[in-house]
Amino acid sequence: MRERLLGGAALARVEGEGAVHVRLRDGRVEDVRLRIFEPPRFFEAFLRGRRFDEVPDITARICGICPVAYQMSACAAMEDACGVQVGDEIRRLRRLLYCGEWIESHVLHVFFLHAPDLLGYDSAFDMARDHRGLVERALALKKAGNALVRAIGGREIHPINVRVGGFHRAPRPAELADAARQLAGARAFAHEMVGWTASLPFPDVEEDFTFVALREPDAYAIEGGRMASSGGLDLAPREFDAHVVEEHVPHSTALHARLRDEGRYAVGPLARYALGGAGLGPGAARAARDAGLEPLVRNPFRSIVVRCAEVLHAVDEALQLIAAYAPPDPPAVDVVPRAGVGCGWTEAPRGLLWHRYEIDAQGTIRDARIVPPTSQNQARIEESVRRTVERHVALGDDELRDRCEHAVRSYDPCISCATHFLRLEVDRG
Amino acid sequence: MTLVIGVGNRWRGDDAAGLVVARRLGGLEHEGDATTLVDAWRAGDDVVIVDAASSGAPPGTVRRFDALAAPLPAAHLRSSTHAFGVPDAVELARALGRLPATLRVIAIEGAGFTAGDRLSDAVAGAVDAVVAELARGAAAHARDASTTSRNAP
Repeated sequence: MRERLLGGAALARVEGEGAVHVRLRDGRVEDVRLRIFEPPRFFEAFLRGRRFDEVPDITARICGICPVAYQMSACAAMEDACGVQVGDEIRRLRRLLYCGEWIESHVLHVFFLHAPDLLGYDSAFDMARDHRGLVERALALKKAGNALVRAIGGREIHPINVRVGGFHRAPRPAELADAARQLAGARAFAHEMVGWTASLPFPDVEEDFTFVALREPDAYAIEGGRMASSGGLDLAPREFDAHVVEEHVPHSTALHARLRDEGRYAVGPLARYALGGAGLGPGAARAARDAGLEPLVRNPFRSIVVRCAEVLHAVDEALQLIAAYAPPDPPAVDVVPRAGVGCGWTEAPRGLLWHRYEIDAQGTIRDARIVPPTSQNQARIEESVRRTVERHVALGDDELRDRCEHAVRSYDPCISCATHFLRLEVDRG
Repeated sequence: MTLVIGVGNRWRGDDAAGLVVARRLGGLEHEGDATTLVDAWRAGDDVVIVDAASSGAPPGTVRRFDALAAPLPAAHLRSSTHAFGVPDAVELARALGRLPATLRVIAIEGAGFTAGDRLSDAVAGAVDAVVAELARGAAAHARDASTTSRNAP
């Protein structure tokens, strides 16, 4: 069986890198593999022997785009290990911080990674030349998210103010005023983008999904919740690894995740919207309705519309939280380490992010497990790529590569959480 | 006065090279996505960006680019674990008409980018050399700048 490597172009506009291999025979798809060459679990190994209170600083650097998500999940898991519950005020401040990250991460993806695909541009900067006003407003909206992260986190990237138990310092209300002003100024644009993205030309595709997301009774789940699935699961963090099986597949050093009873699944905006869409704030819900967003979105490319609805939700929620803000005093609860295991999760922009730590009585980390959203999505992304190849098998390799890249990008994979290098290989025998 | 911006990730081995240079010169340390680089400078600024590179050159190799004159070689500057890196940020700024007065990029070839908080020896040596070069650089930069067309302040 002759294997022909066609091109070797890196998969562009995906955070980090990964590889897609397709094998075709007589015009039929024989095999599709998403190969993620992750330096295997280096961060988990790196955490062993470190102190329990170092997890926010270290895990923040697993992902340059969602450091807050890693800090929040790490704190949840470590606080569980130490038997600590933070109060409502700290929890709300965490949620506010997280809103900032959702905004900046989603806006980056929508405008600089995904929209160019849907508008037929090779790159975000080609798009920027033709849609300069749009890109400038997107940058301003992203900047508002960054400003919020900086105001609470103490720095725009890799917040230094987060600690296990809460924050080193609670910002004074006046310190949130600039972020509030920027968010208010960008709100109209965030609203317009729900309708604008809904009007983009999408591949006409419907897929079946098993979705997994956190859910909360009276809110759109971000910084906590119980895990729900399409098949009716309702779990606490410690039950995650009884229901989620992670398996090594030969072609990837990342692990494929599946639900024991429901098989491969997807996390992220589509999952959150499907399982908890009723929790969207009234402004975002109305914008979604007006844009004709269906209650259950089964076209992976339409994730861009859901992301915009989530951005609008995060803007509105952030403004409400800022208006009602009372600095938690003290800014953190005391956390005394004890020997044991803790689990915790939150909804990163890309989906459910679960951490598990085992620590000893001195607070030294004995074991760490981190399951990022993108690795949970890997099997499901492969499925979408397979369907994409089946639809476009008659196309030349360059066009086929483009379609596969679009399909992968629609999941907003943060492959830097799980990999190192991506290229497309098409083997037509 | 030159603005030195170091780009990278302090927990990914040699990906911290740019950050270390910036830290030692009192410049701006930029971790994470590069879209915000566009906001890091103003139109009249003289900017030097320092980043790690992964191009196959011997570790510690230092390359210098004039980013106003031509697009950066994206393949060389894919060091960061995110595809939207320095070359993309520069092209975005160019497309939006938001480049600074001068923009140089210094790329330091890394040996390894796996999780860890130490620079390899080759990169540590290159970092020393780049810091010294930039610290001495005010006079040299003024000489370069005099041959670069720029708007009068």
